[in-house]
Parts: sequence; C-alpha cells; structure tokens
Amino acid sequence: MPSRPSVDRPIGASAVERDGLLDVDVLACRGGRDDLRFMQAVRRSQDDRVHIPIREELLVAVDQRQLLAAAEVFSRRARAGVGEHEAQVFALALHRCDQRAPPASQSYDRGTDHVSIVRASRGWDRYHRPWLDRPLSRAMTVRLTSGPIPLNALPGKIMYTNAAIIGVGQSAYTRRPQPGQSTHTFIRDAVVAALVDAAIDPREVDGMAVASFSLAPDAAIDLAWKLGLSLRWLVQDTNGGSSAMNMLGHALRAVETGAASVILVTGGDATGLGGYAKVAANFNIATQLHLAPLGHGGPNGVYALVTSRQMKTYGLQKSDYGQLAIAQRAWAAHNPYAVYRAAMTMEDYLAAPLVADPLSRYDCVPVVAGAQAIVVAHPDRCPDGRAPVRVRAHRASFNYDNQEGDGLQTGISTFAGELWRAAGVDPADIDVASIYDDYPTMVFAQLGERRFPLNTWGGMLSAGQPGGPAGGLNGISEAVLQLQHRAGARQVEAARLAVTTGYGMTLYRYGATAAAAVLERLE
Amino acid sequence: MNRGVAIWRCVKCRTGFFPQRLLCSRCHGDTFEEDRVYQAVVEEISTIRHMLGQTDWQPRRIASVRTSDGQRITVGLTDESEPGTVIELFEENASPFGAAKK
Ligand SMILES: [Zn+2]
Repeated sequence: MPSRPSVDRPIGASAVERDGLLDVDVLACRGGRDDLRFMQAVRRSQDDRVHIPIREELLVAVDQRQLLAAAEVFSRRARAGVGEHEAQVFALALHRCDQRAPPASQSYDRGTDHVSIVRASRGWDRYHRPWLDRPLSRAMTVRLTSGPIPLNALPGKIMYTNAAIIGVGQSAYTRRPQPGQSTHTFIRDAVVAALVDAAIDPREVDGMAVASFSLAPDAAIDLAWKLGLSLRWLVQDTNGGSSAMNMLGHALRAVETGAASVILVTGGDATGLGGYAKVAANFNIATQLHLAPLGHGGPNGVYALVTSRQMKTYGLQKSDYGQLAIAQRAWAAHNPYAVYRAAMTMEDYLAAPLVADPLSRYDCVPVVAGAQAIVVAHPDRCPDGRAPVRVRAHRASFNYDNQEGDGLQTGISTFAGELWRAAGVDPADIDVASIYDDYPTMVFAQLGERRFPLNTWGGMLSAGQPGGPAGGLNGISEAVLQLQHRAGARQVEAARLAVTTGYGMTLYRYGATAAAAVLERLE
Repeated sequence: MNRGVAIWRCVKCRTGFFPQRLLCSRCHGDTFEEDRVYQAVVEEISTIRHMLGQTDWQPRRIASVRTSDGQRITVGLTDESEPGTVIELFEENASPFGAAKK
C-alpha cells in the first residue's frame, strides 16, 4: 500500500530542475473523497516516484500557482459532482516552473511511466478562468522519469514528444488481385504485419485511422468490427495521396493528448484495373461532369498537362524525368515487395510507349492491390532494441490555391519554411526522403532543387501504388525502416532524419491536398 | 452541342468560374449568374493513347486552355490544334470541347 502523501503539501512542490533536466517525483492532492480517488489513479512506487497508469487523463499546469488553483477547482468540482471526467479531475501533473517556455518543449522521453495530459474541457476552462492568467491550453503528455534524461540536443520545439511510430507492416502487392482477395483482406494482412512488427497485441489497440478508395460501402467502423478491434478513437480519412500523412498527424495528436494509446494507421486498395478506371472517372463531381466525358484518361491526362507545363516553364527534358524513374528503380531492386524490380536504363525509359503525351509507361504510377499499416504509440512501446521514430514537425494544406495556379507547386509551398523552422532542422540535415511520387513531375513540384536519397523503396513508380492512401503510408514506412536502420540493402548509412510528404486529390487541374513531416530517429 | 462554355460569374465581384462554385473564392459572394465564354488559347496539349480498363480505345486529344475571360479549363480537342492556337469553345452536355477557329 503506497504511503499517503501529505495533504498540506502543494501538488508539484518538489518538482526540481537539475542541470537542465526535469526531475519529477511527488504528486499529492487534497480532500477526502478526492484523495481516495486520486490514490486509486496514482499509486506511489517504492522509489517514491509516481506511477500513473497509462490512459489516465490529467491536466498539466505550467507553474505552482496554476497547480494550486487547479487543485482547488477540481476539489470543488468533485465535491459538487461536476465534471464529465470526475474520476480523473484531481490528478495533476507537474511541470517545470518556467512561464516562458511552452511545456511541450520541456517534456522528455525516457522513463518507466507516463502520464497522459489532456486539453482542459470546456467546463474546466470556465472554472479556471477567474484564477489563472493563462489557459491551460496545451494538450500534451509528460513523462515521469526515473532518472535524468537529456533533453533532445537538436534545437526547435518538438511537435510530438510522446507519440512515435513504433512499427510498420504491409501486405503483398499484386497487379491483379485474385479471387478471395479484397481491399479488406489486404488491409488485414498489413494490420497483422504491423502489429507483429510493433509487438502489440490486437487487444491493446484502442485507435484506428483508415483511408481507402475501395472500402465502400464499408466504412472505418466496419473494418474495426471485422478486425475485432474495440476502439475509443476512430478516423476515416478522405484525402487520397495525403491521407497517410494526414492520418499520421491525427494519430500523433491523439496519442499525445491521451485520446488513444495505440493507434493503427492503415490504408489499402484493391480496385483492380477496371475498378481503378471507375474510381478515376468518378473521382469527384467536377471530374464526372467535365473531365471524364473528354476521355481525359484519369490522373494520367491531368498530370500529362502539368508535366508539359513544367517542362516548358523550367526547360526540362524527358530524360530529366527519366533520371528520377531510373534512380528509384535501382532502389526497388532491393525491395522484395516492389512490383517492378528489374534495372531500367535511359534507353528503356525513353523507348517506353506513350500513355498520355508526354507521359510514357514509366512516368505513370502502376496501380496495384495492397495495403500498408503503421502503429503509433508512446515511444516506450517500441520493441526493445529498436529506435522509435518521432515526428519533429508536421504540416498540412488543403485547397491552397482554389485550382487557380499552374499546379507546379503544391500546398507544401505554403508551409515549407514553417515546417523546417518548427522541426529545428534544415533540408541539408535530412538523410532520406519519401516524396509522394505518383508522377515524376509531382516529385519535382514538391521537392524543388533538393537532393536526398529519394524514395529508397523504389517509390510508387516502381513498387506500385496500392491506392493513394497506402502509397503514402509506404513512404512513411520506408522512412521509419531507414531511421530504425532496418532497411537492409537499401539502408542509408546512419540515417537519423527523414522528410516524408503526401500529395493528392486531383480536384480538376491538379492535386489539392498536401502534407509533410520531419521524422527523427529517437536514440 | 452548344456554342461556348457556361461559366458562373460572381454577381458581386464579376469573377467568372469554371467549374461551378458555392462561394466566390475572391469575395466569398454567394450569388452567381451563368455566362458563356466562346474562345480560348491552347496552352498545353496531350494525347490520351491508353485508357485503363479499355482495350479498343481510340486516342483522344485534350488541352489545358485559357479562356478569353481568364479561366484555365481542360477541354477535349476535336482537331489537331497545337499550343498557341486560338480555339472556339463548345459544349457537349456539360463538357467543354474546342477546335481551331475556322
Ligand atoms: Zn466574387
């Protein structure tokens, strides 16, 4: 039985900072009934540090005064029976007493226990306002450490400190799905592989995000049912080629705020070629009414026009696109899942039949059936001996120019500078990049002049595109494998930082959704 | 077949849109009136030589064009017009097509 904390001792009184490290050891609380419930949620360990079970929802306060005020409010609320989270309302975590620094940048990542801290409820906001100078607005998780852990050496604020990618998995890819194979079965295979990879029991999964063009009439909840997953967080994303990145952002925020603790992010498609043609012709109302009747050839026709514009604007030759396709094919030789692995020469590339001028066969992403999944959870859940991959910064953009530009940039241009600043790194620091590559022209549009080891699994152009959502997840998964130093013959030496992007939803003249993130190997 | 292509003009700021919108992206006005544009200049072209799921596909030409009112739209080309050609626009159902001025 843990010893009872002193009721007179303010919560967080003994949080100390030593050598730039935060050392947290004691929580306490007030009030009889509150105290009892608090002690049910928080039990003290033998080494006099607090252990709070994962999933407990707590509030973080940034200084002593806020802690005291919060404790008082919560005591009152508990006495009055107010509050939707009554069981959790009196649990408060500690934080460094530094008003200037946002709390998230001061949290840290190693330790034996963790406390999930959620954004204050509306009710809380109403209650706290009279007492506090500033709202407890930051949703975050802090960890109680059992020893001093260095704060990350890199500058910049880390967007997600307590959520990371801990495992990845994929199904087989195939050009032609066989009877009995469906979007659902490919997704199942990817989910099983990701859970095995992350060493997570399916019963531990409490969140899922899914994107697919061919799940209908089923939706995310049908998939949860069919996978036997009982969840408290579920998202279905409809942003095509940037769905994967978008879902990653949602999942990170959910884990960071305690909405869920282990989230499967998955995507897959198995349309077959005929099914894909139907998806392409009925992509949205604008396509149905104004493009498909022209015989526009789906995205091939759209990006043929964008490619022509790009060649004209930048003076590019067909062979410039060939360089990219050939380099990615060389990577694909080392990816057993890639549908095209044979080496390709410039002669092969240039001799390929035209599909939609100036695009020829190797400029157009091969449609495959398949699925991908990743697992997002607290970095501590990462299997032993493997580095979790966390996200230093993540940004997204939707409909950035109302389709009124030339399509030679993407929504990434609206946030690129901000992304790098938030991540605290420069493009030059990046070791490996997964740039969404349904067409070479769009890689250039997202990437500009930068040079990284690019799409080291072969990209979708060689590995295949199992629908936009899973295609984007493939890029994230490859970045994770590279940063975990598990990419085998494809391994980029000592990879530590990666950038990943997504691009999708061709509304009319080009894509309208984009997202990017800077991923980091957590040592 | 109808001569010209329907566009939707914001009553408040007079900006013309294709395809139709719900609010004007310039002024967020919510009232539009239908107008027509009749001419455009071809900017980029492509020949669609292959169509997924179809075996007897006949190549078709498409183009990104700039209309005389300023919209950039995608049309089916019914002749061999090249970039720079001024074309006349017409509609088949709701779809825009064009061919060089005769
Ligand atoms: Zn207007």
